[in-house]
Amino acid sequence: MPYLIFSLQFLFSSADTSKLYKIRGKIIENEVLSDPSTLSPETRIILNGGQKVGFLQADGSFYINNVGLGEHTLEVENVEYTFPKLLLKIEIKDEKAVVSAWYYEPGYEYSLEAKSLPFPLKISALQKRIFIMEREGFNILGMFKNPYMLMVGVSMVIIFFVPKLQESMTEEEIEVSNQMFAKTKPKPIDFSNTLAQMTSGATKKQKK
Amino acid sequence: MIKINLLIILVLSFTANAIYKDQIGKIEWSKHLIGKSKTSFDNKYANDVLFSITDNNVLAAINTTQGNTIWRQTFDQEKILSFKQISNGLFTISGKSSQQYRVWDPTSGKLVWEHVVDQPTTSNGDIFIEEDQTKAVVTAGNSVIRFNLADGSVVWKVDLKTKSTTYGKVIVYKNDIYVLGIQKKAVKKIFVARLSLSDGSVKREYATSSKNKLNSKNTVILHTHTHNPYLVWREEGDIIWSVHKLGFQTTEFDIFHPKLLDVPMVPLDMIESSIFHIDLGTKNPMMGFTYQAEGKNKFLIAKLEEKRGEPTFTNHLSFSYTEKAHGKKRLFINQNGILATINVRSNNKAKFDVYDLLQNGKMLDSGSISIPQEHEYGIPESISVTGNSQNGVVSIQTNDGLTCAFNYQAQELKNTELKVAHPIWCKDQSLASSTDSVFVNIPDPNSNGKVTDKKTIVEELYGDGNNNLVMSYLLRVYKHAEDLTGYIRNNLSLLGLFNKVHPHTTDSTLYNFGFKKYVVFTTNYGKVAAYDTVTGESVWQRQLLNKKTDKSNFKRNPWLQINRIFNTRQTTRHSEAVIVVEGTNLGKNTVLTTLNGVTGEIISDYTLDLEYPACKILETNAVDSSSNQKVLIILRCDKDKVSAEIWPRTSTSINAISELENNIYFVTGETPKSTKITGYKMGLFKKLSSNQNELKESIYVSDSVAVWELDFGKDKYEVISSHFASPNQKMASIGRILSDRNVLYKYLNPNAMLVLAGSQDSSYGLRALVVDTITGKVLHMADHPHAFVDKTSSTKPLGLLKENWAGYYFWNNPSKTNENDGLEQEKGQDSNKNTPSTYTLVSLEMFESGVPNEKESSGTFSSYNIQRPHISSKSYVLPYAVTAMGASTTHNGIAVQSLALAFRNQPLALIPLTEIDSLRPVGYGDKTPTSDYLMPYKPLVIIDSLASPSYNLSISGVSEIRSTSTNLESTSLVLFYGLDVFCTRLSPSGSFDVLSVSFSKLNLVATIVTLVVASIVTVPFVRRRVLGDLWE
Repeated sequence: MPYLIFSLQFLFSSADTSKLYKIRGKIIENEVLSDPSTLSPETRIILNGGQKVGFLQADGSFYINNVGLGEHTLEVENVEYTFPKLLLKIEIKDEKAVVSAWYYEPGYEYSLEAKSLPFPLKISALQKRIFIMEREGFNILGMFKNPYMLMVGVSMVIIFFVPKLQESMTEEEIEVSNQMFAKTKPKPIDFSNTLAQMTSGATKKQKK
Repeated sequence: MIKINLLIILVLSFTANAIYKDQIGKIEWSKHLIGKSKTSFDNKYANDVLFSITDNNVLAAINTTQGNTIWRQTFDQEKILSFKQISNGLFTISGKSSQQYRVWDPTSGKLVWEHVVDQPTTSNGDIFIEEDQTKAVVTAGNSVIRFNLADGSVVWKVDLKTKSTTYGKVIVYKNDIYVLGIQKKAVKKIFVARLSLSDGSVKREYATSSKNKLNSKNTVILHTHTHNPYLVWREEGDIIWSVHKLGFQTTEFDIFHPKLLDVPMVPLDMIESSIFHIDLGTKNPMMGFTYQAEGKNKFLIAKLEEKRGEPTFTNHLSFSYTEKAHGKKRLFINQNGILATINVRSNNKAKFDVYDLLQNGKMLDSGSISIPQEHEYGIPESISVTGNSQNGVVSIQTNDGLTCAFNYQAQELKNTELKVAHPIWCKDQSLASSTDSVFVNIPDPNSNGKVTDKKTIVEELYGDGNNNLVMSYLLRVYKHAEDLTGYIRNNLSLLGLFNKVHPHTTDSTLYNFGFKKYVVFTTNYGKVAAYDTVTGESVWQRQLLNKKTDKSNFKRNPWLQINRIFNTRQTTRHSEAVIVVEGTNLGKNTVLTTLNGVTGEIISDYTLDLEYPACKILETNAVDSSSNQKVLIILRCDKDKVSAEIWPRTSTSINAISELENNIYFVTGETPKSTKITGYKMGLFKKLSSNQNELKESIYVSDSVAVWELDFGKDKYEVISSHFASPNQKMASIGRILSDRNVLYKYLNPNAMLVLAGSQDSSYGLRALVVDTITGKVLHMADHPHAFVDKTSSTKPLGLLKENWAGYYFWNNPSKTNENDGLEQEKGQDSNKNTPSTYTLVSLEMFESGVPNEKESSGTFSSYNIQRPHISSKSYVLPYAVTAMGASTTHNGIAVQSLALAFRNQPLALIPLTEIDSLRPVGYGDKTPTSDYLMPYKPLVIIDSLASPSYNLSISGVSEIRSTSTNLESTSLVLFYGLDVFCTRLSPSGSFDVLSVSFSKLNLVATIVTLVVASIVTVPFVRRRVLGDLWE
């Protein structure tokens, strides 16, 4: 996802397994969302499906308070934009609380072996949702792309231009053309003759 | 072939519900609400902004000149305990299991800073802004915190440790902080803790002799930044006031009422008076006092002074005012010192007065107002004011949530006739507290919107034709002929060929398609209100009131608490719809109110206080021939038995129900938090007593016998929710066609019930069961140990049952589990690979047998025929959290059904059931029965924003989704409600039975006309050619 620039900020106190931590992050601008301050105040930052909720500040910053050690999911809920989902892991390393963060897709496995996102880490909008479909207006070129229109067009050409072509022909050429048509013209089937041949076993050649 | 099918499905699913620009506002309507205001204050820095906290736990900023909501913040489970304006924003205290201290930007509604304390709150909290406005001292729960207001940094925090004391008031005076609370010992008393401002250390703690609550109408704490605070109170029913100087344990004064306030009053009026604190930014504390004297309701402002070490009160201002019983609610003082009072004259008429307290109570304006009466709104209850000594806006709210705003203008008032003020805007917030809803059909607008007794020719000749195919067909032809005549008549009348123009011309098409109906809501304020499904406009409203026999209780709770609404008769050509509203009165007894669903008129013959609390009301399909209503069965649950009676109480009802009475089964205990569900069989109805009332002839009761029991308690589970299939559902197919053209027959059990039960002692662990309510057989059971079931969270499991399909949703966290079941944490095959938490939807379908073409039942369904249905299920992952689930309903159940989902803080969505089908093939080796028109199984459900019915509207707090069919098979009416309301028409499979909106009738007509003209024009040419040919 090259269009994303990530960075999150986390504040930590000294390590303690029972201690609760505050997560801070920021939504930053990108080509999808040029000004995070325009996001609705009803935007929510959700931890673990709604067990903790964070509100948005004017500059796009947010807090999630009282987060314990372990794995957590973080989402940004907004009507107009979609945002990536993050997996956070807060653990104690060398008596210090350390956080790692990865993107994840719902329904797919993730690996904690993958490289953690760089810090400080910020979230950008993935996509602006499109809600309204545009109706196709009247398009004269579009009409000619219609197969029915093409069939009608070819028929019209035959109806109007073939007689004109005939008019431009000389009498000799017409005669030749008529003869050609005459040759190719199928002869009517003589049913009685055919039946007689079949019953008598005679061939055309023999008859001749 | 399969690829073509998949392509069609994909195209259909992405475009069937797409919204076009020209459709916005035409097929849907919405109401963005905040709820009925509980408390409010004006913006010190903007004259036309009012901040409000509502019954729905919403903090909102309202523009009082326009009436629009500038911004709102919903707090979900956190209760807002206190709020105050500071220089850089709004300070709120909220919380439940933790204390949340936040400052909000007053312009944008966004967070400025927050601080969370992981300690529980109580029902009170308070904020005190220090004189220099840079710091605030707050209290909630047992915590007292001093904040720097600029950045929210904590100067110090102390936890008061006095046992059994909850704090709710804080005052700073010089270097001391007084924290007041209630100490719950043998006798409740107001308790005071005196703290040092510099470090929060406790200097002294003591109990006063006051037994009142802190927010009692007989208690007030008077303070300013420059005056020692005083606690003034009076015991209930006493006329002696006690005054205590805070910080001085022994300094208490008893003052006889006339000495406290220099007004002539009789003892009874003294007892009924109320007292409260007023902050006008003055040096001395001010006190407001409402009382009655000489038959008039009055309001007095008194000033506290210390003379020779003793507190004395001097009268500052006084006004004639309003009913004392409503106390402070009918009086409002804004931060500019403008006081507005309201005096209610009759149910919908009132008078408001506006005074400037900083100009010694000069009256600025006065006006007579009337609440719009056409919809029977409640009585004016509270008032607020924004503005200054020149002009502003007075907002008056009724007790059922309607707010109307009126302008005021400073002027020289003479004793002339009172001016009539007209509302500049009105907004009804009552729908934010809806408790139930039903759809009601309306009469044909072609008959002036009225039903008729006149029978059609076909009806006269052949009866109603319901039982005869030929008669039904004739009726249909007759109806169409009638519609055609009406259409021609209406259109010609527009050209002036007929004098009579039909009043409902524009509604006719919408009615004929079945788009125009009424949706009737019931609300928490005793209100029953009908709205037009096309426009969203209010059609009628009624407030169902308690009886006024218990006067003191009535003033607190004037309306019935409405629980459910039933549609017992739909509108036909000859009769209007009837709805029955189930409410609870002051005596906790059930009251059934019957209303005409079209006009809202109360039908008093069928309205009754049952004089006992009904534990449940069952809908039946039996019809009472005398009232043409569906018969309801009312259950009364006593300790050891469950009895039932029928409604309406008529002999014809008992005749109707007698056909079913050997086969009526029902369940109790399916409600949230129950640990046991019991199935009953109803006995025969016996005549209990006779009644003089003609319509309520006699009461028939039946004792029921428990036939089965499902005990969740033994496994430490409790019911979260129960779901039943709609009794009126229609389905077009009894089976599912498989890839090999074989059929799996659906298990269509009308008695099935989906129960979701959650762990009692853990936040994780969900049990989903499908139960047959006749036999008590568990048809299906699944345990989800990783499902989050914490009831206090907004992420709660949801369920839905429709035909042979059941679906349920929950937040699944594989890293967490129910501690009691001993399961280990879920891991992928690779130990480094984990599965993230997901919003999970389980889709399951019940079939008569797992073997294709095998049909177990024949004719009428019986719960005893099939031992266990074959269950096919699949789990799906939804991308967002869901707050409500519903299913679209179509006229004959032919069109592809859809699942309507209200996502939290995301657009609403509609998912075709084929996308979450339990038969979607998993892979090429999958041997299970499947259909070739289904896409291969992929767990993630992709939501296309183009298919969102609510496009970019922010529809918040949806908790219910209801759907009804229209006369077009393709189209359903779907209603989403909770905090906001959204209603739309949806065509899950596309509008296959109606011309597209983009279809140009004009083009069609123009083409035909062109062809006809061309044919006529070419006739002479053709003739000439033929003649020419003949000459040749």
